[in-house]
Amino acid sequence: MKIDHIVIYALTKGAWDLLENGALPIAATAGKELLALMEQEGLKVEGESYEQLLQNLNDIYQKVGLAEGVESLNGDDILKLKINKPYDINIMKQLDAEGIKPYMSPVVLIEIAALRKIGTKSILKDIEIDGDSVVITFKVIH
Amino acid sequence: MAILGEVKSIIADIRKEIPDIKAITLASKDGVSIYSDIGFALGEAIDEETISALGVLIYSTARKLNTSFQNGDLEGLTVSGSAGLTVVYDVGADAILILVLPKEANIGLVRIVARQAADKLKKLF
Repeated sequence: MKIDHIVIYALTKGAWDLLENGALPIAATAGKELLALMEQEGLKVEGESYEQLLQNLNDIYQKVGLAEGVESLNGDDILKLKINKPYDINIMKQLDAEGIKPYMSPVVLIEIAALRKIGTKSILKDIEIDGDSVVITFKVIH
Repeated sequence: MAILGEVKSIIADIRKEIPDIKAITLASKDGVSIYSDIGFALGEAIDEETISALGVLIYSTARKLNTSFQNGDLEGLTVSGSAGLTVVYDVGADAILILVLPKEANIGLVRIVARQAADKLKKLF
């Protein structure tokens, strides 16, 4: 197991053991910090629309090897983001098998913070593993 | 009516029932401020999102502690400061209601009004 995977696993499980899904707000705060650091490295997450944001995230994921890409599977008031082959999928699978949502994975942190950054008010409903992808479901609040 | 419209209406009713209330925030359990009615200026180091995240974290901590002591379901939480009170109520699977009150607030009335509001809000999520 790679050292960064061990760190992600330990941070995720440690907070989950204490607070269970009450630890989820940490993801948004950590994600905001992650976006700020990425911007300093020339990886600005931005988009005037949801579609532009997705394209921007796709470009960044492929450029730095975080994932193969991200696609949107939307329904009424439900927004699903499917991230294909994130680099830490094996750790996500291990956490998921232990009943722990992989909310501290970098790609999950980025998606949550990016949606907030473009002003989409939404509630995180679920993080599911689907083969070698992770699907993040949000309920959009109008 | 959209969810946000109904939320605003329920929160306006809380303010009518408890006029001296200082702030009301409905936060999702992942720490998003769904709607806030804050009647005073926040400090530079804090914003609605941070308040929501802190509310969820303290509520989750209290719930875990309560469960550890086998005290049943957590119904609410009161944080008592020298100049005011913060109360937090559960609003179903997705949200919590945070109320900020003066120290001398009628806590019995607050409990009744907040519980009624929480029951209405639960139906929206």
